[in-house]
Amino acid sequence: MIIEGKKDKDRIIVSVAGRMDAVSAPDFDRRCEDWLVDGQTLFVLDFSGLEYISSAGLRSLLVLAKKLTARKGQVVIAALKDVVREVFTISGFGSIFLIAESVEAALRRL
Amino acid sequence: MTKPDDPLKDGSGRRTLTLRAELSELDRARRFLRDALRVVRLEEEEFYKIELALVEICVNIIRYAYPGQEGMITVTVSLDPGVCLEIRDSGRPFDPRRVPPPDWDEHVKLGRKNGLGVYLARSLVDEFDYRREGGENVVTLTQCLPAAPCG
Repeated sequence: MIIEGKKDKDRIIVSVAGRMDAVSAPDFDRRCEDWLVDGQTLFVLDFSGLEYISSAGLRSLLVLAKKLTARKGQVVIAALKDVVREVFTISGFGSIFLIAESVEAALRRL
Repeated sequence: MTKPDDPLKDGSGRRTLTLRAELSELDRARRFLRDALRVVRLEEEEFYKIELALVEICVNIIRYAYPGQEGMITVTVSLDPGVCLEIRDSGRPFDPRRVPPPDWDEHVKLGRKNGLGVYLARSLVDEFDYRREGGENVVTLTQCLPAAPCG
């Protein structure tokens, strides 16, 4: 899994590519924690390169959401591939996160 | 449906893989599943759901079945009816059908983390079953597909 963060004014765009699973999710947790410590509270997650997500990945997103709620921050998830979108739909996950069609659309919501 | 020359039709037509209950073994499980299902030519999205269900059940076993000790997982794939996966461990008894659906508010507010994988696995497949047999947990996952119908 490749994770890259790019700041855009007071927001951070986090691009995640590859597989987000039990093996790689802890990396995502650590990187997000670093950005939170750095003071970032508005996250856009660019999932256009994300091929696969398991419950470990979903759990990481819940952890991020919880931390952001405590900081009055927000996260928008952008550009889901079909297979990942289906996992969001099946799990009911899609109903608790803000989902945007593209990074640009996500940025407009923050 | 398999053809007469398919390797899956050898003997009982089943393929079995035994894994150590460790995260580092998950790639082997994925490769095994991909090989075993090659003959049915699934759409990538169909394969993805079965793979994810298998991985979720395996991760659950790795995390909880063998506290403080090593253990094994046996995965058997058979076709017809449907794609059928049987996942066995000899760890502590655990019936994944009893895990309630996640309460998302609770997950976000309280940081609750358990039950997600099992719930996801159950949601991804057409049939999900469990039995305790000879000191083993046996989970069976069945997916009915155009390329591997359930009859």
